[in-house]
Amino acid sequence: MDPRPSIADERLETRLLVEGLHARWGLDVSGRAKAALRRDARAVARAGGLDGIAGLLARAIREEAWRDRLVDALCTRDVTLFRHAGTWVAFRHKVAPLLRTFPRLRLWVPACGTGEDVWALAIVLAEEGLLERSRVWANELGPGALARAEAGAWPADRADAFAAAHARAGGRLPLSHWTEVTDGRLAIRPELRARISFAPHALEAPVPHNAFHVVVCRDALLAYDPPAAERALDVLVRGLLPFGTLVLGRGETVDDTPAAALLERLDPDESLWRRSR
Amino acid sequence: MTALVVGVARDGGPALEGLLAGLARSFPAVVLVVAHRGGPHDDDDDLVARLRPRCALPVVLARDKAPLVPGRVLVAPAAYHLLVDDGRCALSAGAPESGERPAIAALFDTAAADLALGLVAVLLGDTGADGAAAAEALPPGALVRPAPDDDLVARVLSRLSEVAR
Repeated sequence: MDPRPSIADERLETRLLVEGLHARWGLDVSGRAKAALRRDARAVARAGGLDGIAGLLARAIREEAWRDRLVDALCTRDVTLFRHAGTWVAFRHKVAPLLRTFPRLRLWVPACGTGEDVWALAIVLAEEGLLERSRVWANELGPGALARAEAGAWPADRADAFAAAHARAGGRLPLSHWTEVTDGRLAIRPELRARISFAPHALEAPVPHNAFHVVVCRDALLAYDPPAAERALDVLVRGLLPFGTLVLGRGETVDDTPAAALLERLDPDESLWRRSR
Repeated sequence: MTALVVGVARDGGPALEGLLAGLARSFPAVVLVVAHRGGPHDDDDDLVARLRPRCALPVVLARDKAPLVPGRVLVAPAAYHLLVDDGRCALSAGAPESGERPAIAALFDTAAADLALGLVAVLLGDTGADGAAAAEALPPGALVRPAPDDDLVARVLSRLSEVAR
């Protein structure tokens, strides 16, 4: 077993990995937060039995499957359905009433990871009588993550935890009204799927301005370093219609960013903002 | 800058309160705390509210991308990992490590990799596999082990002055 690589080695190997992915595949992960990127690369290498980040570099620049494995690791957040239930409660009370005044709604969930927030949003919209008038666009860069998001299915042993979170999130009906268990998997029912579309898309890529009534992007900006996160936040905010709502993760803030000038916070405790103009 | 990173087991609450109570307003380092509590998806959080009255230093939840500030206690929020990245906090919603989120290993590993930080580390209580992985990531001499009848804060201060650069 080789000795553990030094910090300097790992930093160098991570830098070369970023360059290699870009040179070989045109994939730009240079804006990713470095500490998390380094640890994710290390974990992918370890799980694959490779010789550290240098070993992953060698495979990822030669084989698409290894490239995709890394990208999926960077895109995957391990979250429950209705994570931070208080945010969804605030959404029902403070956002849904405004949404009811529109005959048609467009909602965007970029960098959706494995889709938990897409399906939580769909359930909340349905429970608030808003799903029929809505179209939800869900995007993710990692192909494996996107496929899992579209599948909308989880191991059945998560059913109790999800149901409890759904109840805390103000669920009006039992979660089983929206999900079904087949073959050991808890899956979103077909009726919820019609208004939701999934497509590959990188958060860094341009999108229409002033298009969406709601943008949900929770815990995705964590993966970016401060300058890239600011640029991504700007994309999210400019994608909002005036008076549209931005939903971020609870540990995230817009303070000290240029985008803050366009936003007003809707709730002192929950990460909801309204585009003011 | 110097940093004190503290990993706390579920049984380490009283020890954490004792350590924080012993920090004077003049404490020179940023203090980063990862405390095991609940499961990796339990996202309720009253830890900061409980710690705040016990400490002369400001105690706050670590926010993503917040700068490390000497004399401040930054606590990993429930159901997030807390990393250090280039002088800032970095939160992560990635997979639990050793079944824990927040994981002490994520904090200690990234704090050790931030070469601008003079680092001292403490583990309180039985931190299990996560604590063991965390300790392995530290440079030699960074870990100060609590001992009974021991002024932990004094030893931490002494080690901090040694690693200050």
